[in-house]
Amino acid sequence: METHITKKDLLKVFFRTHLMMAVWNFQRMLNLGFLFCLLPIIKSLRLNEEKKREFYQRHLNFYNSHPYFASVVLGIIIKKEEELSQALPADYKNKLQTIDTLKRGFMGPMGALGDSLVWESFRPMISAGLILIILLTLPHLSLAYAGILIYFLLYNLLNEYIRFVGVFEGYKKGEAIIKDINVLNIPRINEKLKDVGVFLTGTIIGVIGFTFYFGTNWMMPYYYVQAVFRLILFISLAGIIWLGLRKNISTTVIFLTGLSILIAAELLRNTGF
Amino acid sequence: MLDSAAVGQWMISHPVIVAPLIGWVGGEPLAGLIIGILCQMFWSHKMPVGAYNPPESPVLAITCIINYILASKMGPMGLYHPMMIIILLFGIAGGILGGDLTIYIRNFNNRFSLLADKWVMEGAYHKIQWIPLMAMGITGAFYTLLFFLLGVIFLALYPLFDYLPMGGIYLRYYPWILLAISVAVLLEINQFKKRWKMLIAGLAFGCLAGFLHGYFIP
Repeated sequence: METHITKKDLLKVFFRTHLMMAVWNFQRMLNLGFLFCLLPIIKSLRLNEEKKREFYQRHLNFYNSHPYFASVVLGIIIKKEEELSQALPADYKNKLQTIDTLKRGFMGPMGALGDSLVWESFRPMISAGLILIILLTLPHLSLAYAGILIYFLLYNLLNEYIRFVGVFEGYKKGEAIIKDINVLNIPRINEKLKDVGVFLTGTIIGVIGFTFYFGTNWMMPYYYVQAVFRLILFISLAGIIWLGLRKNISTTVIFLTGLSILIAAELLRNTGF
Repeated sequence: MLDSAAVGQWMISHPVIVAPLIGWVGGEPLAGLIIGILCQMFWSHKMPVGAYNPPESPVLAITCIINYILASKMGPMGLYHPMMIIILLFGIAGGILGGDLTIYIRNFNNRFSLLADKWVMEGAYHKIQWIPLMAMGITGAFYTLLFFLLGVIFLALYPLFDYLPMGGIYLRYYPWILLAISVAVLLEINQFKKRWKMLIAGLAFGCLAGFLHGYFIP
């Protein structure tokens, strides 16, 4: 097969993936974003007017996936569109069907993969890490800001890597890329990320209990009693809130209830109780 | 938000990034950091999966830090706990409104699909590439208006805050509730029941780190 799609075209597609979510809509979700990303390759496909119209109409249909992992589907579809543009008339219908099937078949798994890996594991882990960095560096603002910069770079390293590799490898390997994704064993990575997330959460609790700026001084013997007491209180409070979350009580309601208790205690104190 | 819902998903709009950033620009870097860590996990257990739109944590954090900066410029009240609680309540209202606004914008975006259909039928393909920019402009304008309105309402109500009590023994514990919520949300997201050994290990490490922090960074 003769290829007209250049690396420059794919690079343009990669840059455009950053705007994929810009026109997210309830009727057809990411359809316009997906089509917007494909626009740089149209010229290279050398389509006549009728085929061009078909191309646009095809990709204006419903589409939804995870914004990072949609780039994998983009890469595959670019390859298939290129094959379709050079297909013999006898093959045309089959290849057209393949594009539709692949697009529908990949959007669900890629969406689920992104939601579980990025939204449910990686992002909370990074958030916990950053809260910890800030808690440990708080008196020194420059260190805390350096932590934020590290967070930003680490998070976006994964973001940009998935987008870039998705477009280029998806185009190079087509649907066979699924084998590479399977080799990565993403559910196992998810579990490991959650392990780290729980470890960091435990560390946050420990730091809150023992850190100096929460009102204790390590040089005083009373420090240790105070720290352990505070730790027990904090764990109890977090445990009660966790039970509330398990019962589907929203954090807004929990916070407002806690705040009401504090205000009531304050009012009672002011009235002499 | 423009970053998380529209452009790049670089997560600049995460509370823990955007609040310190605005705080730094507004001359309140410490308040930015504190608001950032207090707001980061507040609605994080509600994932933006599929068509579900949770309340907007970035709007919560941005409203809080903007109102904090406004309050600190207006007088010393910005530093008192009752004022901080009012600022947080404004932020929560802003976050909930932000979630509704995202739903409205996404409904509004339906029109762009229909517009694209029309342009394809007319053969005006070149116009389609401008649609994301138009949508981004509209999203940006809506959110700017939301922050402006929340800021104006806060400033309009500011004289009333003079009647707030300045101190408070119990009120100073409100950050503890937010920190405990953050920890509970993290435990819930990471399914800690299956990983309690990691939690204990983390706790031991955290106690040591907290002690060393007190030792080395007085």
